[in-house]
Amino acid sequence: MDKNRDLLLKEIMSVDFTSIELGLYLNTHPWDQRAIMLFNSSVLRSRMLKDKYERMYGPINQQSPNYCNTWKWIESPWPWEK
Amino acid sequence: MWIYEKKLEYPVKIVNPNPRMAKYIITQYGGPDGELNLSHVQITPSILNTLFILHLAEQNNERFNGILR
Repeated sequence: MDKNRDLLLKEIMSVDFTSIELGLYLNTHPWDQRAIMLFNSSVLRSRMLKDKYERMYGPINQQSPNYCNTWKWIESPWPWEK
Repeated sequence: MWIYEKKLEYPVKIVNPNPRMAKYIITQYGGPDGELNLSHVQITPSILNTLFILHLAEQNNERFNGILR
């Protein structure tokens, strides 16, 4: 896997990790305005990055749009192949 | 309920492969007394319960519609 692709995927992973953790925190602190703000910004950033990644390299979810004539979902690399 | 994503929640980088440790961990996780089996034991009744409740709700709905008619 080329370097730029790996960097972009890692950035998506880190942004998603942030939103997962903030989400868990918000389950027990639902009135924390600052956490909600951080959560929303990381979710929006993740959406933007995923869109960019999927246009360039292929879908992250099976439900993502397929920007190609052939079905990209089944193509390598899978997470265990890197 | 479950969605597969072609990415990891947290990136892993294996520096020193250790087959003995890997075997031990996979037995703990997927072996006869492992976590996977335990979670399956716990989740199956809850799925069956959900299906049963849905079934009851549907039956009730039919009965209710019958009364209305």
